[in-house]
Amino acid sequence: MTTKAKQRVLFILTMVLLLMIWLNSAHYFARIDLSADRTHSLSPVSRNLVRELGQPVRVTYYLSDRLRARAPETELLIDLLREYATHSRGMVSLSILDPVIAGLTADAEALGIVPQQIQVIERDQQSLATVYTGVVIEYLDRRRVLPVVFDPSTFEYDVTSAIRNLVSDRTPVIGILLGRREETPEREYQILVGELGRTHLLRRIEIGEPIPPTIDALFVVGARDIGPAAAEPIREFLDSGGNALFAVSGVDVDLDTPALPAETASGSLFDLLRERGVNVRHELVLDRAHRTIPVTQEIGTARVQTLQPYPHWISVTAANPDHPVTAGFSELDLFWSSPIDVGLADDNRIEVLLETTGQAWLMGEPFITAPQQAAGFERDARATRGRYVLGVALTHPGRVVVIGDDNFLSNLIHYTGSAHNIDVVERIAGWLTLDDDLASLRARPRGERRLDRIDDPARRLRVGRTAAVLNTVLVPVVVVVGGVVLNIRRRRTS
Amino acid sequence: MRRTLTLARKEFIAMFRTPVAYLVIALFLTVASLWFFGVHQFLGRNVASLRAYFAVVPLLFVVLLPALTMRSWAEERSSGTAELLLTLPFSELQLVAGKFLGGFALVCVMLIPTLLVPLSVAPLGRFDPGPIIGQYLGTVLLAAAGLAVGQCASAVSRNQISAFLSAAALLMVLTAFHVVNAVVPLPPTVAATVNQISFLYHFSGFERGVIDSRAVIYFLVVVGASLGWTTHVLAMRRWR
Repeated sequence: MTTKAKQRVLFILTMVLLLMIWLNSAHYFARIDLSADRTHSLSPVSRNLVRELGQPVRVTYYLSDRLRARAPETELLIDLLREYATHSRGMVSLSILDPVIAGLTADAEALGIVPQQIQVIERDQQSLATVYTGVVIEYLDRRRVLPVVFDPSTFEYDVTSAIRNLVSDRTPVIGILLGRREETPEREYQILVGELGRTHLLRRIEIGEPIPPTIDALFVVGARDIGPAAAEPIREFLDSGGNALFAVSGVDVDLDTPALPAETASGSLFDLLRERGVNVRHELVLDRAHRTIPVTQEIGTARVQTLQPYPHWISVTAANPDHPVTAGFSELDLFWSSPIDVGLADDNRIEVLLETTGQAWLMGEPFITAPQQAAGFERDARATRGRYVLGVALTHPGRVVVIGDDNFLSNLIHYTGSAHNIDVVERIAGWLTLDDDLASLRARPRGERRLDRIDDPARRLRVGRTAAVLNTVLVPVVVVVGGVVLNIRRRRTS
Repeated sequence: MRRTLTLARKEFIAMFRTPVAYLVIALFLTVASLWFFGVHQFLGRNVASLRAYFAVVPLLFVVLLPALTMRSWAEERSSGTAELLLTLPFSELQLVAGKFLGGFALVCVMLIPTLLVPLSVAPLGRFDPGPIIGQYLGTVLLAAAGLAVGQCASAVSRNQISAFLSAAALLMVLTAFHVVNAVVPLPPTVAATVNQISFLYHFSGFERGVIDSRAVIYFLVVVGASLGWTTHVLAMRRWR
């Protein structure tokens, strides 16, 4: 063989070797996520799920370019979807489509993707633009739709639970039993129904109706109209190992009256819970850590709305870090909550989930709840100051969570901006439907870091402009001038 | 190896003897910063991330790297020094590797002033250092692949202009190859392969601070294949 031929053979072998290395790298690979909190990595729960897929899953993210350009959060969602595709070893295929550009707006809406309107400023004109950000997940002939996705902190939970439900072809069923006859899930609990409904099938249970065995978890909200007879089906459900959330306050507050009058709540649910070692007291608990409430005041002829501290609306940050429901817990807002006594049944199967700060106090009858009567809020504070339990979990025979508040999952959270309450409710739902893995997904923090080191807007602008001028003008000018000077010197020397 | 490094050093110094290197560096710094602070509106977006800064780097490299590599072989060929070079006691591989390392060192020098960007915006927010490390690593690998492809284009071109244009076209195709998927509906396997060929697709992981062995290997394979091809072209030319 001539040297030239040898050279050719060597070249071909080198290329083949490189090609093989490249092809093999797709099968044997490793990834290192350098970001803090491993923001761009899927949790082991999601990774295992997509690795064990038996059939291909098609994920289509309908995302408008207009929104993508304006909302950096959408990039995080795309990153996470790519992660699913990466870990699935080819079983998850991802497409990202702008329905407007692709001419698929009608198809997307027919699939259940809900158009959103955002305000845009283009060419100095402010206008409303219709945008899409929804995900369709298909497996065999089954389909799940996430009509609107935007929040990176809940996205993995939504996608993973959707894939799980598709693969198992079963969606957990949650029964909702409202303890006040005049309330409906669609009206008073619209947000809860919307959020829970994305990952669960919801079924309304009427007061006194037998609890169907097909229900994975029962949410009981409020206790007022649940008498002894109506409590029996619930007792039977619990005795047979059923899982339930009880959101019950020992004090009823009338939200339809501006003065917010309150009275002691009645109902047989309290006895039922007491039998299980959980005593929801007929008192209100107020805390130093609290939210504000909008109050309208008349100053002369003008009506002015101000935000006033309102210790009845507790901002809970103390939670049991070892329980799946509250591990990685950030915050929960409770409205006119009642304290819970535990341990009456000397039962170590009860775990405390949520507590007040050590600076909380109680209020018995007569209840002072009107925001205008703030002077009376600390009436009983001196005698009752301390730490109080606000939520507990029981694990025998079924799983039960008790929260001493029936408003924390109502539409009130929309007015107080308490979206974190939904996170907690989803985690409770995950735990009650025996999906601890899914509950743990709720604990993962995600989101873009903000430019929040400098509070003063003027100083912030100054620092930003200095950085812009330095990098855009000064440094390149220094490079060019340096080059010119060096070349002139070199020429002179030579 | 010593001979290769000697050649690389000579190449590196030679690049700074012409205004091209300074202009390329200044242009890179200006356009990247203009994009980041001006068009992208870093301050207005209120996000503590340099992702947008590095997002424009692959597109800048499409133009700037060919400007650095166009001279490497095409000029030697047009001026007739290529034959002389091949008579020197260096193997083709040493010559190719030397020129490549010289250009690579120049790109690394070009990236040093960009460190001022994270340093100057650091007082504004709590930046996550992990992704920034990933972005620099990705940029270095992308530059290596681009330089190797540019050398390859220079080796097969007759003059600098055609070397520049062919390298830019080749880099453009390689950089944005995944766009094919947005235009043509392809079967999943073909679509995945199309993605795997794209520079941008692999670079996007580094942008997020994710170091993926597949992306690292891909860029190294592109470097190896391009330098191998260049070496082969020179060797075949010797035998003519």
